[in-house]
Amino acid sequence: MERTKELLVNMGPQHPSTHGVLRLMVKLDGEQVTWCEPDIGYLHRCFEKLSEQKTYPQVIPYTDRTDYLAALINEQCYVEAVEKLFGDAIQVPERAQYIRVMMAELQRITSHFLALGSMALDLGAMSAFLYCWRDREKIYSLFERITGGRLLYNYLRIGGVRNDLPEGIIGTPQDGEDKADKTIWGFINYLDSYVYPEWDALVTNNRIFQYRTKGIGVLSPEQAIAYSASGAVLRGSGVKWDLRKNLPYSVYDRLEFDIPVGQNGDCFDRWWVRQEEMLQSSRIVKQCLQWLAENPGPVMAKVPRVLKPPKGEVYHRIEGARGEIACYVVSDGGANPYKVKWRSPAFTHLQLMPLLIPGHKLADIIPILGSIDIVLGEVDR
Amino acid sequence: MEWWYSLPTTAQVWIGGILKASLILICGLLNFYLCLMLERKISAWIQNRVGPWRVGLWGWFQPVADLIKLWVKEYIQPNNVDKWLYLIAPFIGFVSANLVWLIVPFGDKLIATDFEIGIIFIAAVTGYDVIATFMAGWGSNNKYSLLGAMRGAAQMISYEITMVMSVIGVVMMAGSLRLSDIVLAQQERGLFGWFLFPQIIGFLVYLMASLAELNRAPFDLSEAEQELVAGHHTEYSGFRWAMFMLSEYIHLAAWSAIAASLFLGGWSGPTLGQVAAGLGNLLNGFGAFANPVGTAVANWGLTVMGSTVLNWLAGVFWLFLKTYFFVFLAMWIRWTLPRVRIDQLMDLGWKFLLPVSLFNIFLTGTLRYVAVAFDGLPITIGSFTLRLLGWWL
Amino acid sequence: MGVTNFIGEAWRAGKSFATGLKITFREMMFRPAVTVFYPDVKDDVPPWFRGIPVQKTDLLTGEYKCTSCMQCADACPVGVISIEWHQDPETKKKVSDRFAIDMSRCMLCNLCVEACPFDSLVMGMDYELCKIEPENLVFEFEDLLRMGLKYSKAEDPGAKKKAGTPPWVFHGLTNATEDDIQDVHGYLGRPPLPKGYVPELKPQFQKPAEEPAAEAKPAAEAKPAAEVKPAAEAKPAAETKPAAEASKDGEGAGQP
Repeated sequence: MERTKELLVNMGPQHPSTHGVLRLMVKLDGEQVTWCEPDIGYLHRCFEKLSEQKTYPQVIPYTDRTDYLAALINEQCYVEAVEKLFGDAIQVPERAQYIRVMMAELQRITSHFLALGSMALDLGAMSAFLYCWRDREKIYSLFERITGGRLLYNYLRIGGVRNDLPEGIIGTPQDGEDKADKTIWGFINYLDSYVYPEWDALVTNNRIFQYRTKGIGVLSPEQAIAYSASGAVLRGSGVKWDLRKNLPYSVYDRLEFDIPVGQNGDCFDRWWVRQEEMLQSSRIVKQCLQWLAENPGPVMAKVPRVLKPPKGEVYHRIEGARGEIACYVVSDGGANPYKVKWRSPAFTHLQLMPLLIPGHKLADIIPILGSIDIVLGEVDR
Repeated sequence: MEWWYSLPTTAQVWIGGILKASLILICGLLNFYLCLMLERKISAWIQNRVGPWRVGLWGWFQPVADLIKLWVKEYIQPNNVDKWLYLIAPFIGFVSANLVWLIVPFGDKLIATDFEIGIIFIAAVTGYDVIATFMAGWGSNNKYSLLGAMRGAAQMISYEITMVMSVIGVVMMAGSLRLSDIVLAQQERGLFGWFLFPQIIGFLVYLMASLAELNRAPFDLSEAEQELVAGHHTEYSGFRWAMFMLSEYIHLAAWSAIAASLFLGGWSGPTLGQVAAGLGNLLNGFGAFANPVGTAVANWGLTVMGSTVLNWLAGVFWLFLKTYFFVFLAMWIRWTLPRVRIDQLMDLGWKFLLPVSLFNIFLTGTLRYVAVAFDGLPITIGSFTLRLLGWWL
Repeated sequence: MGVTNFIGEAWRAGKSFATGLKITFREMMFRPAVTVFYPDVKDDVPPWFRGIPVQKTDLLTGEYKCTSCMQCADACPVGVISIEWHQDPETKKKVSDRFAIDMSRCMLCNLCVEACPFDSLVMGMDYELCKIEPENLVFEFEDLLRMGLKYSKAEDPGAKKKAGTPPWVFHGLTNATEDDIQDVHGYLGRPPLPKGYVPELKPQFQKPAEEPAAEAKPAAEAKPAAEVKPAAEAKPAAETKPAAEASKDGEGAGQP
């Protein structure tokens, strides 16, 4: 039987919709995709090798830059890993832990904003993207006041955080939208009352959006587990697994929140899981704010000037914005780590592309890629 | 005007034609300017931004700066393009966009060419756009352009039929294909006489079909493809790309003007004289407490009511107001709704919009027949309703 | 069945579009633009904002506080701080020859400020650091002191005081006047260094009985490396590694 030749299309490293410098090689038969393979490495910055030459505190700014959209979560993973190496020698004050958790949840909200916004942009709802930036700017202002940086923070330290929250940043539960970029309560109230319904009505309930994402990129739970998916990708497929609940770290075991789980494992479910996670994160932030307002205290443990953890190795995993981030640190007793290995969820999720994309149309690659939510800084490190 | 009539007929035809064509061209370009500016400003306001700000007063000179830049830009012509197709494609789109402006009625007897087959002319001219898209895509010697162009051509052809079907209801009600007749029919029907109200289904179908035809809004797969670069005009740079933009916005304005004429009453609306007379009447308290100001205004209104030039100006004003309402609607939709996929687009066109427009024709026809057929019967609730509908239709 | 499904679907779709359109309409008409009209209007920067690290001065004595202890250069993960000093033979104190921060590499991580034991470095609030030539992104001691005037203060009156010296006339290092304290952006007006420029050190910084360190500096494109006096120190190998990197980076810093 005669067949037309397949077209090899390169969605090259410079492309408006691949969320970074990702190269996707796609073979097309008319409009259907028959084969797809991602090609990465365009953003490799030798993070793991470089960290062998830095002292332990000097690695923290580098961890920021792996998943640059949710930087504090990466810092938390590395810092908690090194603290585990120290064992009981470093006791992180409780206030520092609550601050870490609160910042991590705010970062999760930010990262989900961007994930939802850029997926909406790729699907054509261009205004939604700009609403995402409007709200991210508010979080940037908040973080600027707390840490001094807007996107990349270098805020967590081994043993605590760098400085306590400034005066007035917590605010009162009655703060409204006008204080959304000045106090955290203001932002949380703004998120719950204005932003979440706006996203719901503008994009999630939009029939065209649902037509574009429902039934696309279906990942069954067995496949998700087999491919080491984690985070929203795993939960969108119906597997109720969240490291904050199943393997609690830091102070998550004292906080109340739910885990949204999808049903079908398609792009829409993953989108919906992220949207609901934002609400759950705001619940966590509210509880942390209440605790922080009532419990002043130190935020940094006493640590030696030159940190030399005892010999050993540790593998620490946390729930990052995109999935499970894990850090494997090997110490040989010196001031520099012997080895730092970074397990990034986006790298693992990119393996799903050759599984999910073939069989769909060309136009479906975009929602699938957007719903898997990669960030190339993390993939290539 | 005697010198005009003293010219031989061929000279009249030629000079008149050239004048009309230049005016249409200028009208098209002015509309392009306004549409481009509105697009950027409206999208900015929707997105909580301010759009262009620095060039000119509040940024309203931005298109001038853009056009100058595009004019002096280098023309990059890729190797192995099909030379004539590549070069001519942008201009064909531009020509077809301007051709639609020929039949737009700007006022009473103020129309460039009053074709008897107005609506059919639009359908015919739209075909040029398809040709232009396809020439651009094929001639560019680029896989992505070809894909984009094929999708665009398929989309445009499908929605042409739907678009014509959706206006047949209007034609049935007006009884003529000529656009000036349609506008006059709406004027005769008086208040709420616009064909928008009875033909609401037709209007919605026309809205969707024209957005698809223009490659805009939720249907802009072949143009703003974030999926596969920029579609059929990927390989164009400089002023040739500007030509595509020109043809898109002039097309948008032209079709909005057609929509305004078909559904929103075209140029009909109170003229300056009528407004002044009414205002004077109001100031006079409808005769209750006559005062010199009110009387003066009313009298002035009555004197200018017959002035052709002022009436023409009023007509143009109302036409453009309605046109830009439609343009605003198109832009508002563009910046809100996500894009549909190509197969969903075709499904929408063939399986949804076409049956709905046929249903619209069926409904219009049936109700008109019923209204006429039941004239003279004794009044019962049923026949009363039918007569009401008949009056309405 | 088919028809009611059809109509139901159309109705739901239409309703979802209408809510979406209502939201964008609301955003368009009733919500203000969030644009900040930079550079006419600049957003306020909070006090802990991390801009370029600058050097503070004791406004009462007119002296800078940096003692060339090298802690910041060691703490920097990227190694952008280049420090040169020599020992004054009479007083046996360290005299600073050069302190430069290469802003083209600095990632504003703040570790140098935290490492400084003399409260000399502080993260300034300047973020407009653009220059025309990339070589000028290496900020020398004068620039850092001038920018740091804003964050300096007069210290405890018990400290040393130079008789008759107004507080803003410094130890011959900067040409700062009272106006400079108010206008810290005067540095933007400095033209780019010409090619082959060799900075002339003021007499108090020239190495005693040695050629001025200026001649050791090649042309402006390749600033020299940080030198660590090996004799006085027996630091572990780990701490010389950042210095070695500083030297590598110091050389690379001058290249665009």
